[in-house]
Amino acid sequence: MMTRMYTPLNLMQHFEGGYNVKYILLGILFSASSAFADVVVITHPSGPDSMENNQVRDLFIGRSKQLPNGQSADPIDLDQGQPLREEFHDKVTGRSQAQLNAFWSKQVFTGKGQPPRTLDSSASVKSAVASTPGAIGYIDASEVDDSVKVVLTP
Amino acid sequence: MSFNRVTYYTLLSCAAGVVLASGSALAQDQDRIDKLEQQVQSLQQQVNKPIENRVRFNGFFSVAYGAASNDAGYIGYMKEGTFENESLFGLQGAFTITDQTEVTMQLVGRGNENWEPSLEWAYISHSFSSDFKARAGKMRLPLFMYSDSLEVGYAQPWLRPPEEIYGAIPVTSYTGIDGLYDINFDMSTLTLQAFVGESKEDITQLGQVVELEVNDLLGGSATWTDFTWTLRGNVAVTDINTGGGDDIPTEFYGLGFGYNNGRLQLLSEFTRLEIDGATPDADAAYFTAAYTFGSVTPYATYSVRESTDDDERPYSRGFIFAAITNPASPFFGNSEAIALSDVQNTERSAYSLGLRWDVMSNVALKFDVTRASGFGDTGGGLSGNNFTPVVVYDDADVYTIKLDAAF
Repeated sequence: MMTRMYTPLNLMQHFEGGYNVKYILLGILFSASSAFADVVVITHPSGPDSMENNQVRDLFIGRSKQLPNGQSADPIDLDQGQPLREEFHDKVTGRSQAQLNAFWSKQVFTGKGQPPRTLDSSASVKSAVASTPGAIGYIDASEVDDSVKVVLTP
Repeated sequence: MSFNRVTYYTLLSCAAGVVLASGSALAQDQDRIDKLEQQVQSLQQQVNKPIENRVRFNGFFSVAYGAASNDAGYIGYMKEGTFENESLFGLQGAFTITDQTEVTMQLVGRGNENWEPSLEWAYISHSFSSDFKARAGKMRLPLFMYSDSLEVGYAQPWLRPPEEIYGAIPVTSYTGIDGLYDINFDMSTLTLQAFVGESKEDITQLGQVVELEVNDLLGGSATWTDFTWTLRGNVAVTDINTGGGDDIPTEFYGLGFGYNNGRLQLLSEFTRLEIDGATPDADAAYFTAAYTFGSVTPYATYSVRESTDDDERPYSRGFIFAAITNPASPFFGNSEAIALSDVQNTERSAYSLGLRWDVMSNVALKFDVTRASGFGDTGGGLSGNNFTPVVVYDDADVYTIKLDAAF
């Protein structure tokens, strides 16, 4: 689908040019849906300064249990069905949700490990990470503040 | 939370007090503050990190309906469709004793065993370090790449593991001990496993139920994976006995390969079984390719199996059946003599086309068509060809629909 990207600036131009309000609403709609969320990986402020993609992946597939600075890791995933979760796994573990589920059922039933705990929103993830040393999670870049530390933009 | 806050402030004010009281030794104080901050952090972590459950339960469930093109009995299916052949449930409990020690038990009930649950896993595991774990009890016999999750259909891309490889070994678990040692490289892990043990299981051999003893079982496996590529090699040696007679030295070798980039999945295994005497030795292999389109993953598998010691079974099918039915023959009425004949020679190749559809989270619906043929001048190892003086079936198709769930 060819959709022109609307930014606040060209929305203003549209408005000044006497465009119908309908177009502005459409523009807002499109800019909201086409602005691909930028997922960032965050830790507690005491976490490491930066991490590699593979280090984050290994924590979220249960292969490593420690952050690079030696803290015992507490990885936090989002609940299934959330678009940000899909984006994170697409970029970091490289697995579709179906394959990820199959992977975890294999780990669980062979006694090799349990999936990371999950929370229902990135706001909950941020507050859990902000208050738990060793916690690592992901949120949208726009939600970052100084209660957490960004360690990777995958 | 309130406990956490109080602790935090108490420790901080202690730290502040320490700083005020001994301003002369600043460096020393800095050390102490660092230590106190670490203590605060670990307390904070203990308070905020949810306590891991001491007991966890998981389960899996499969219900399958299948039918075959004939009554040759390939994968246990006949012309008349059935739900019982491959339907099963599993319940697993993991009980944490200490941070390093855990007891795991898994009960599996199968439709073709009247759903009577049997214990498949029952072991205690202890992590001596982050790299080394030992387990003792009843465990899966790790002969194949998917041995550990053999009956967990949800964890597998196929409707069932390729019959030519996975269907040929009647023993799937053993009692004993094993050790697992992980060697972590920069981007990958090599897991070395060694095991010793034994097993005793009733199996069906040429239509008769016999007790198969697997004694002095010793084996090992090495698995390297970087999450995209997997390479595996394994070996096991044992003495088997099916009641009476001498123990029969037996060896098993396996090689496995896997590739999974999140969309494309390739899997292949090669296995070699060598048993002294007339019991058939066999080589087997398969290759699977699967591709994930969103929630749908079609797959194709080619697999082969061939007995490799045909010269150890000197009698022909025609001769042995004539002998069994002839009152004048020393073999008269002795159906066990079939084991000495080329009835046990096997040549078979199978093609599978199937599809896994992840209907919802933790539920997959699967469809599969498998055609077995290429028996050469053998009966293809099908039960329908075992008790006839001539080969009756030249091929067999099996059609199956299966629902796999994990919870």
